[in-house]
Amino acid sequence: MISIYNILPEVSLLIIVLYFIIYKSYVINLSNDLKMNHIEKIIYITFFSLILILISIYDSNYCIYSFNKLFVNDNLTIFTKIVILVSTLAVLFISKNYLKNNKIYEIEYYIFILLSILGMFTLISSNDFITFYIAIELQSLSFYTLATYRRKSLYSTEAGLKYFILGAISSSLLLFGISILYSFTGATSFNDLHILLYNIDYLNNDYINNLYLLSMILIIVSILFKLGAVPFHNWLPDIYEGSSTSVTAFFSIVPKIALIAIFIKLLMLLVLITNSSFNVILSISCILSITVGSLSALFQKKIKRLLAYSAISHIGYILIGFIGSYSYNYVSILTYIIIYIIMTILVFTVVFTLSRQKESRGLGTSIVHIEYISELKGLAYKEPYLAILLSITFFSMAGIPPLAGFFSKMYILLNAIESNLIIVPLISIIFSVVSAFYYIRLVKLMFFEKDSKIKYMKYKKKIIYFTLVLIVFLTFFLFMPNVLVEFIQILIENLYNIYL
Amino acid sequence: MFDDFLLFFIVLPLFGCLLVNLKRLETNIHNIAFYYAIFILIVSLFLLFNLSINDYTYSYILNINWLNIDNYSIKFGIDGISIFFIILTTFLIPVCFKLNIKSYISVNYYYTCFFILEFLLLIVFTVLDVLFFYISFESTLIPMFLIIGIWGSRERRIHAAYQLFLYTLGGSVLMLLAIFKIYSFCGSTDLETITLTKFPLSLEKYLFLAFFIAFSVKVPVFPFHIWLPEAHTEAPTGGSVILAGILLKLGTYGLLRFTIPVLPESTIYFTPLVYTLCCLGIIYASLTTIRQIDLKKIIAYSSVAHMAYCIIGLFSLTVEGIVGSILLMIGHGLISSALFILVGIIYDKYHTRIIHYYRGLTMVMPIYSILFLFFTLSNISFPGTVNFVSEFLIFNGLLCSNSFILIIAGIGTLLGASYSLWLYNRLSFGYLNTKTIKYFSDINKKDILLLIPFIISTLVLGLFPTIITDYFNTPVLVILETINYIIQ
Repeated sequence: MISIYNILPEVSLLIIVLYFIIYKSYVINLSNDLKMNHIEKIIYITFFSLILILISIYDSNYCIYSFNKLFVNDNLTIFTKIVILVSTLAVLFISKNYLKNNKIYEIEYYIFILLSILGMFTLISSNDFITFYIAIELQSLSFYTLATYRRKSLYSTEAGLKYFILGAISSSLLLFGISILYSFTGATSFNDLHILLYNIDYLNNDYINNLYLLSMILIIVSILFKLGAVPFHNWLPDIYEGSSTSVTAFFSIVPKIALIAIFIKLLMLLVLITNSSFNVILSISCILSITVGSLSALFQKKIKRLLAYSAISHIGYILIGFIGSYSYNYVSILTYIIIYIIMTILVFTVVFTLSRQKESRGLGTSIVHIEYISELKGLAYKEPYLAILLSITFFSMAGIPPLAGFFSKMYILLNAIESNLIIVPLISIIFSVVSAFYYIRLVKLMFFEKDSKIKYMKYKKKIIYFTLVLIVFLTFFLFMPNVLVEFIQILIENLYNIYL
Repeated sequence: MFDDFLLFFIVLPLFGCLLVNLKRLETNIHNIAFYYAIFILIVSLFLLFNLSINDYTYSYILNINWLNIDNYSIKFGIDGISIFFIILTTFLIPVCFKLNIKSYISVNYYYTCFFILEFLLLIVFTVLDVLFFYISFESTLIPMFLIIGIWGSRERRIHAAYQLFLYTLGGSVLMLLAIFKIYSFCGSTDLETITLTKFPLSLEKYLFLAFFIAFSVKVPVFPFHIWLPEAHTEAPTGGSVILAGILLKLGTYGLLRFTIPVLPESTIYFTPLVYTLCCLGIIYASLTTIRQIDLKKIIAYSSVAHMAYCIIGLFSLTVEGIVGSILLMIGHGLISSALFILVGIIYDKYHTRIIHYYRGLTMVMPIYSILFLFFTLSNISFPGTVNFVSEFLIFNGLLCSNSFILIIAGIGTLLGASYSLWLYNRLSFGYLNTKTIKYFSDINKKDILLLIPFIISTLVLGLFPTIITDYFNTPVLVILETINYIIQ
């Protein structure tokens, strides 16, 4: 069987990476702008064609295994891959200005982004724990390198080192869990494990039950670390703050959906729906994430750290979806993450668009993007469109109706109450009011205060047209939620049909 | 009459938003916004004239197929109760447009905020689905937050805006969980479906508490009232008018439409609690008002007292009580808004709201004093004004339900008279205070014309209340009969 067609996206990414590596060595005489133009054209063309290919092979009951069941291509993987490609395109588009201002002209930046996307693709398509581990390692290693990208800055190197050490620990825990699972089942493939774990009467056998719980908890803990859920969240704010902003944008937008998609598949295949042993750890992690995320974000003064803590609280909300046993929980999770991606893209668009000239002693003027929350003061009087954009995004993140963020929280909480949970929705909704404060504080800074000291430079208008589409989606989600939700519902139903 | 007339009507304010933001019409923006708002008022009056009095169902039913599922649609409809809230909304919005504001940001944002607010309010009063009621009820927070924060008068406006937003949001999130539990129990959030479902009493008590906390923060009922004086004093005059006129009524309308019919057994179970809180509210708010020195705070606290009367009337579960309560909501909407306009006029002239700076205004502003006297007497529920009829009806209803509360509420009327007359006395009578006020001019024609509709409607409704109450009778009877049917 010619299985290479099944991994066409991954293979094409690998080819582009190799091309970039070779490209650097023979175009050394071209100007930086021309090089960047070439690279961007290549990336845009590749991604668009991959998106088209993936859309064209999307089909309802599509499921193809390849390489002796190491890889799988089903409709969830296709959907997630499309989302990753689209969001990476968006991130690269909006961070172009930032890269130019900070003179990031090296090709290695794009190489590592492509390698991390390759890792994410392999992660989503993995059907075996070995592939899973290799993919997570590939993605994480590319991220460690991206986090230390600006090697001359103290912040960056510290961020990368922290990320590397903590990530290595979590990967080792993952490996330990996988090996325990292998030890008592003798299988690493998801299909074999699914058949074994669903049919073995392991609940009555203490030895196997304990080993199962231990291995699954280690694997879940490792994934929770990578997501940034609370007992394992300490790396997130430092990494977000220390890396260069374009890398932070990439971190906060792209990898979460890959991890969540594979987490959904793991829980669907390896954990019986009626098995509620993992609900305890997921509930505790979820409640703590929402609490710690909301409360810590109240005191932040830097935008990137605020976004990091708000990302932690959003992950807490997503984890609510994993707790109950209601079968439509996964629909609400995927809806939430997509709306979260759109909101984060909008926030980072504004962060990249607002730049000002800063005089530093001895080094001349440099172009700096906003770093502190207080630099947003009086934005409504200077750049009204950006202020309206940001305030709609922040109201949506706070979960205020009628914007899309409210609907994403609504679906999650609706499913939680259908699963008869009481404490978790109650605490999450109380802390959503607490977190609403720091979002409306940003709106207050933009609209209610005037500041004439900071003058922003002009920005390109085409970014605005791009954001218009996203804002229209957020605002008018109220009128047509079924465009997204029904689609994801059909996806999850097909997933259930294929695997269970 | 085409079928989707209600859809056309609800979407009208959104076109107003677009109109106001067009660059080509920028020179005429004040006139355009005002006349468009008057147009919306005329359309709502047209809706009134086509409504028949003895209808026991909703008219102008609009079904929106929100998700593409065959049987699930959101219903919008108007009945005798909602039409008057709609008319009150569409009446107060053009009034707000004619009030002066000081704005650093361009004026079209003011009009846009109010049009969005009007759109959301029209949805609130016509939707017959509890989830969408919650969505639109919460969405009104966003424009209100922006109105208080951008156009308010002094630094404390930020504190007031936060308090309004977070307090009201915090109160109503529990209602969201209750709605989800209702959905999980009934399978639908449609009002008629959940009205006819009988919940088990233990579940119903929690649901009622969740709904009641949400509405009691909005109304506001005594322990949760502290955001109201703050929000009113810091809001611009237009914001105060809309806040007092309509936004407080969202809570009582929600109680009337979505809590009492849906959860009738726990309504009866919790009635003593509600009565206690409301009576405490009346007495406490009235006594606190006597000591206030800020003009707007006095009127804001009187709103708390009047709204407590509304809730007492609602929970008496008699026809007189509920009809009186709805009439009080409408009357209070008119009278409090008029009082805020009057205070706003004087604030625009002298830029202070502290009552010590004013004395003897009758000497130099006689027309203003007459208007102020008229509305103060209306606030006291003087016979001949709509507040009198409504409080009389509430007391009648209360007599059937619980006579002890009647005595306390009657004391509340006395206290209401005391602070209102004390305010009027200090403001208008005595010798003129020339130390603080040096230049005088009476109220101008524009403001008098603005207040004339309020005077006419207060008098007409006070002398001929059956013009409106005929529309209320049948829907209220329907509600009470449904409650009787469910309880059996």
